[in-house]
Amino acid sequence: MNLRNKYLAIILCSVSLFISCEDYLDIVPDGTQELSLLFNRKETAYNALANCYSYLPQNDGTYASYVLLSDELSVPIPKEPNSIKLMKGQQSVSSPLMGYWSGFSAVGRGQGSLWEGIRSCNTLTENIDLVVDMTQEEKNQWKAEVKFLKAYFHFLLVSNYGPIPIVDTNLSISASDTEVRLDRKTVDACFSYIIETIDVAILDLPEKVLGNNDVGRIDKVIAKAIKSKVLLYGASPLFNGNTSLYSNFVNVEGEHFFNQNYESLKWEEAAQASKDALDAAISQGATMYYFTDTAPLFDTSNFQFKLVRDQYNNRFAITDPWNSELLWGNSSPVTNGQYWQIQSSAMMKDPSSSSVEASWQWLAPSLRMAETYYTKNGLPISEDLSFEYADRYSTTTIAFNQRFYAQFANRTAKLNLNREARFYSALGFDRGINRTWGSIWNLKMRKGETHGRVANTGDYLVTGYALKKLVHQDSEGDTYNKAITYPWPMVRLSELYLNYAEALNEFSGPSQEVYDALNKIRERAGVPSVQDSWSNATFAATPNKHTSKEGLREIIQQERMIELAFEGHRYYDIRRWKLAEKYFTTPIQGWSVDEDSETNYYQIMEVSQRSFNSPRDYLQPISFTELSRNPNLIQNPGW
Amino acid sequence: MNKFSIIFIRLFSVIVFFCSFSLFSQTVIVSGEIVDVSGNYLPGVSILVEGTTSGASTDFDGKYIINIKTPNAILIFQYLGFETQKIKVGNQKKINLILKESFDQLEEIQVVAFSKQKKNSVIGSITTLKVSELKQPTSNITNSLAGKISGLISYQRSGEPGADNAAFFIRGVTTFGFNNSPLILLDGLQITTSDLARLEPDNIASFSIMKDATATSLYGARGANGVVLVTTKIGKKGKAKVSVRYESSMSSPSKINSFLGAVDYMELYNRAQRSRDQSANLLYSKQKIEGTRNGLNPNIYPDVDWYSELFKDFAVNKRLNINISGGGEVAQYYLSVTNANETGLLKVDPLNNFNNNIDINRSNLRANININLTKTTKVAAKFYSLFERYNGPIVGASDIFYQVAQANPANFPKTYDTDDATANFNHTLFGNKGNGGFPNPYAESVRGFKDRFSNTTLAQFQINQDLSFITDGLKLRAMASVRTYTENQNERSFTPFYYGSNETQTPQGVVNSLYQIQEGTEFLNDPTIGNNGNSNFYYEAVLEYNKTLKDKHEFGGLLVSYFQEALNTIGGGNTAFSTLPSRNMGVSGRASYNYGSRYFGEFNFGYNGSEKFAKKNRFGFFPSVGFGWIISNEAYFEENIPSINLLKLKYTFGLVGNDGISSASDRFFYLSDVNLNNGGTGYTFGTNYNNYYNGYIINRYANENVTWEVATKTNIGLELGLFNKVNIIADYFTEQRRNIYMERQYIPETSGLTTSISSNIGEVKTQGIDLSMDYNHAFSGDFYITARGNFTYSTNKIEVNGEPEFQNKNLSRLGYPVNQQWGYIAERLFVDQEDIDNSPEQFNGFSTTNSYLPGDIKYTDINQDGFVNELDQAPIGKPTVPEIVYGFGVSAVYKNFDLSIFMQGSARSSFFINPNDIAPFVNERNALSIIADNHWSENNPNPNAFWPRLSTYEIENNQKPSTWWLRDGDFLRLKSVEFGYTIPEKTGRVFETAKTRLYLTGLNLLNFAKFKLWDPEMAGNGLGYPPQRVINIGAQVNF
Repeated sequence: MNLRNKYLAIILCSVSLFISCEDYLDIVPDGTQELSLLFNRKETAYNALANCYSYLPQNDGTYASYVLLSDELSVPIPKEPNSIKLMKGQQSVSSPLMGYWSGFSAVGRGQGSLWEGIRSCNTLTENIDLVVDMTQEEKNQWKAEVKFLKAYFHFLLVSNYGPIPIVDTNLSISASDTEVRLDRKTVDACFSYIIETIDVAILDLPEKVLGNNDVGRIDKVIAKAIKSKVLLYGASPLFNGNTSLYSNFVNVEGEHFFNQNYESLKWEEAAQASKDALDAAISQGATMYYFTDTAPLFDTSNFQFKLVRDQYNNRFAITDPWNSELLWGNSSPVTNGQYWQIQSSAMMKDPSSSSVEASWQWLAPSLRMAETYYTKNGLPISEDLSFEYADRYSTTTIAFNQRFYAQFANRTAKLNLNREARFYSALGFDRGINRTWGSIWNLKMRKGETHGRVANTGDYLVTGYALKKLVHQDSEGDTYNKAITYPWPMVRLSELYLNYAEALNEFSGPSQEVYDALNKIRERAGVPSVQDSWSNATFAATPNKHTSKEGLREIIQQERMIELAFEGHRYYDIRRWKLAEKYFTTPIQGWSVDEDSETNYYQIMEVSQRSFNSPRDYLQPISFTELSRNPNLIQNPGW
Repeated sequence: MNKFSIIFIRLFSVIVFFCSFSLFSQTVIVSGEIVDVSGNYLPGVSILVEGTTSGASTDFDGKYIINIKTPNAILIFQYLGFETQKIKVGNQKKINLILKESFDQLEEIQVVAFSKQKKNSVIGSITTLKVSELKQPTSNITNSLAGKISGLISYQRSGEPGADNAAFFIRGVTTFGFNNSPLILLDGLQITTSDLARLEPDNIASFSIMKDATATSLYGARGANGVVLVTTKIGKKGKAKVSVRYESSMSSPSKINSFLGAVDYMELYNRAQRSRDQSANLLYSKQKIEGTRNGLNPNIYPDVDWYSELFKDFAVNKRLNINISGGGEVAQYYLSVTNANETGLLKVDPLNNFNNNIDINRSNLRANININLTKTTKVAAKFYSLFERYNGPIVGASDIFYQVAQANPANFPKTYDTDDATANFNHTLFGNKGNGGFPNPYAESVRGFKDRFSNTTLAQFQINQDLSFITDGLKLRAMASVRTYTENQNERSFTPFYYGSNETQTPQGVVNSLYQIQEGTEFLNDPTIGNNGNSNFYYEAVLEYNKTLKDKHEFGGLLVSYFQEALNTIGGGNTAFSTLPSRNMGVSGRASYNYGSRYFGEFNFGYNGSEKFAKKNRFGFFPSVGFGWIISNEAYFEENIPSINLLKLKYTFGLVGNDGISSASDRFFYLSDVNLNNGGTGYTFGTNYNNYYNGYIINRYANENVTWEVATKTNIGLELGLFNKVNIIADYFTEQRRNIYMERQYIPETSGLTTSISSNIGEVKTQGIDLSMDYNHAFSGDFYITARGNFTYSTNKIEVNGEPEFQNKNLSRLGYPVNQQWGYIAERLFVDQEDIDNSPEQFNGFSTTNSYLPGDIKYTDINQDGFVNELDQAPIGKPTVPEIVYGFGVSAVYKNFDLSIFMQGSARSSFFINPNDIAPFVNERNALSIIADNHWSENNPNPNAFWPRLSTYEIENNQKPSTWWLRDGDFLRLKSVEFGYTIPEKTGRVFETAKTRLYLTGLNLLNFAKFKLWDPEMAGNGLGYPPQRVINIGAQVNF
């Protein structure tokens, strides 16, 4: 190489040398936040676990709650949350209300898309093995927890949308447009997937979560209880042999999304699962709740009376934190001090103060709910011959023996008197009483009265009923932090008894086992047993109704509507029983709360419309946007 | 040229003259004068007789004499930096000529990427703008680009000083990705649009835009949107040349919106109330209206013309530029200093000692020095510093214009006169009413000021080494550049005192007493301070090789290597990624060959790396090829078709990239963007609800595959020169932009992603034509005329955009231009209630409070589902960015006078009037006169009235984007007129050789458009700071 060429070579090299220093383009410092860093250590992996749980619905947040999604409650029109708007027929395809599919925002805390929740569960499953400071057993337990959650999220979707796609593993970020377009599976396939997944999860779950720090996490009892619920839903008329609504609802291959053959065996499976769940729960110490604390001073002398004790038993079954009946409570409740907790919206105002910040009293039970509770004889008001059913809206003077739930010598509607203890522990009414704020309030709820609508305030009870059931007796509303927080009940033992009774009756008709299960609840409620109530021809208008399958079905349904009232079950139960046309089409009624005289106040008034367009409203719509993203999804009928 | 040589030339000419005369009696003597376009005599122009070696040159006064043998001879006039002209002698004895400066000014040399080429060998599509065309009486050269350069789509939406940059796109908007603006290079260094805007046209040597693949592929991943390449002047050997230019201009809005007076306003307001509610309590009493009509006490009966209260009729701006250049054998210099002062239209409150008007003072200094170190080594240093001081109102001046449209004339005066109670207060009593909260634009305008100083500094060092000792034609060049920008801003304001007026009826009549609504401050509150700064570093090394073999084979080669780094020191945002530097590096090259100046071939490439992408995708290769054929250089052509002096065909094809696919905070696509401690998605365990764990949230999923946009560009070009007078350049281009980084909207929610996924899926196809034409003709030595025109048409359509499969095809954007607008189709106004009842329900109008009445807009139910809702939107109108921009002009020089006229136009664009901005009476908003003149009412139920049924609140139904509010953005304007007079040297002699030109310029003088409400170039921004009409007087002295 001569000198010239050497020069040339050097120059060419140095010019192109630039390109070789690729590090020049590596400028991101190490340790920027990356998802993989989450699974380095157990402490940080907890965030991934918590993230999966965070998608659980928030029924104690008023604006995101499914509790309001029914005919149980009504609110003043300007305050209507989306749940009430949906019930009034304002659901739409372009921007669906209360959709688990996309998630939704709400005052306080909204709801994340359950598909995101499912992805979060899969992400934990895929990565948890990377954590260095966890034992394999722990890892398996965590995986089982999120497996259960994944199944539960699928279940919530199915119960709202019917057939859905199944997402058992996460799709890659770079999945093509055809890969991401999932198909809806038949409801049978969905239910099978959910049950199989729960079954697998159960293997690695602890029998019962112990320890103050972990309560709220999934254990075998919870998983079995939810399995019982899933199978019960799967066996119910909406999902089992639904020929009346969905005979034309098919996928591209012509396969029915809803099976067209009723299978009674599904009830047997549900009954068996409920039995298993009951056994597991009881073996872990679950019992029906009975109030065992000392009575507060204002009731010490009254506590000798069963009717008073029954009211305590029923009211505290919900609000006494982590009581023996609670199988799965939401350990991440809306804490006190948040105005958007359901307890604040329901809590009544202190009669002595004109303005109370933390309590609003605008969540009002409907007249229909007041009529749903039994009489003191354990019978429906229309079926109890001792109850003046036809005359129930007229008023009468309150007798001395009614003083434990109403104001002696005052006057109120007959409807409010001679009812079961659950009525009095759940509802507040004009001239009734309310045990709260460390005393007994004498409720005066007509216009301008202490608990009635003052002037034209926006916070008022539109039906004239107040909701006590969800308010802890010791909660006070005069500052933000004096409400007693309790874990929202996601599964109670009483639900399992009701599941069992229903499934067993559907499968094999009335039996002692069915009665026994119901009587566990009736006993705590303080009413006579099913047999005693219904066999007694003195009271029962249709004696021995309980001995027929159909009669018992009605009894079980009403028992469920009473026992699980205001807990977020009714919307689903009524739909799965295909009874929505009966319940969700008629307006909400209440007393005339803008009247101050007795005569005028006790007039029935329509306060809010309800709309149910069958079959359309049996299933929620898939949004327009989602359908255009995934044309493989077939819209639910009617939408 | 020294004195000796002048004498020599004169002597030589005389000798030649006499010799020829005596020797060949049949010869013809031709003489004449040669001047340039501005009338300067050109000394030393060489005059050659074609086909011979005989010739002459002009003397110091531009005069020449030449002997020719035959009248058929053709004279060739050549002068460095000017276009060569050929003239057939014929019977002419005197041939006077005006030589036109050649476009590139550098002996037919064209600036190309990283280098220069002989103009005729350039195959790429590059337009070079004559620098004098950038000279406009504004302090913003981006304002003068529209219609001047073929291939540039440009528009200017605002005339606010300091915020009036025009938007410009090379060959239109060709992507819907993040960055659609061209790369702007100043002497090789990347600068911002604002930097470009502030350049002094006097200092610019060349201004080019590079359009096709061959011209831009060397810029690799930075060049897909085209490149603007600006070089600054350098000194030339010779005596010091000084040029001084001074301009003073008056600018005023091109059009002012017309609003109602107080009486009309109040009457119409009352009518608007009643038009929706028969029983409404009227806001304005009869007594108030009558009082105003009679001009009673203005505190109670104000009639405020907010516009004239707030704004002056015109603003005065001044600019001064001095530049000096020259040098000797060793060093040459070019120095320039500029000062410009620009002011806005705002009035200043007499009670304030501060200035709330826009007042911008800019000074810049440029020093370009070249030094010849040795015979083969040259170094150059370039330094530029711009210091800007901005003073202006606390809210943007555009906002104040906007607020004028929000305040009505009848509510309150801008300030109250003091009464007994307030007489001694040391503050202005700003008007308001009720409990306050109504906009008082005057208070907003004068309540404070913003004070900012900023500095932009560019420094560059360059070394050139001739490497002919290695091989002939080899050169090496290396360059290091830095650009820094710092900015410091203070905002100071006081809280205005607002007063209202109470009226009380007394026996003496209505008396007003003032009451305070808002307690203000009499002192300026603590300043709000903002700092910002950033830096760019750039290094480049270029190896170049040029060689001609056997006079026929010309080879050229180029190899470039460069690094670039941008630092955001302050104010770059606070996300994890945005504060990290951005870097770019690459190698580029060119190989060119031509045979006999007829057949040309060129290969270019850029090989680029960017910090944004995953390692495997970090580098990209962008090649291009080009072919050219100068048919007019073929021997048979030259002989047979002399009238066509140039015919050139070009074809280029290649790839260019765009790595500006997302914002600085959305980079490093191979990393996910995660918040591992996200409070919102956590959960609590435990009996006391206290074992809380945060969740996490994924803001972006890692995607290793993300890469740059790639543009495949094709260009077919034709250059045609006729009779040495007309030049036509026409290009047809297509571009397929692929890999546009965008959201994959079709990903269903079942995927469970917490954020959308973006990837390189978008595709846009663009095509269009650029056309430019010029015509030069010298009628005699005294009269010279130039006409030129250019035209750019660029249209595009989205081919892939990741959208879901809409059931309603009217929602699909596929096949529509990037800037296409969607909206409802308005049919007319509803005639009556029956008409409403028989029409589809609009926007849930029957069921909610959003109701509508006769006189409100009726829309088409496109999908015919019985409802008008968001599914019924359709593509309407033209894109927001014009598809056609054109300009044409003519300039003429006669003796010492010159005149030039330039028209500029824009076509095929649409915009929406925003009804939310101008809906009268909403929140007691002002009312445009046009609405008063032309609205629907029961008495005038015109279903096509400009404004629907009046209302004093927002009618959602009428505010949807729809064809009702869509307007045509086309316009043609008389962009500039300039009339100049050059003082003849003998009379204007200040210095011995000084040449002085005085000129008068008018800018934006006339406008022709269908849309009359405001300047259509403002488009939907019609209530903002309007583009300015400028009258300018200037003087330029060269000595």
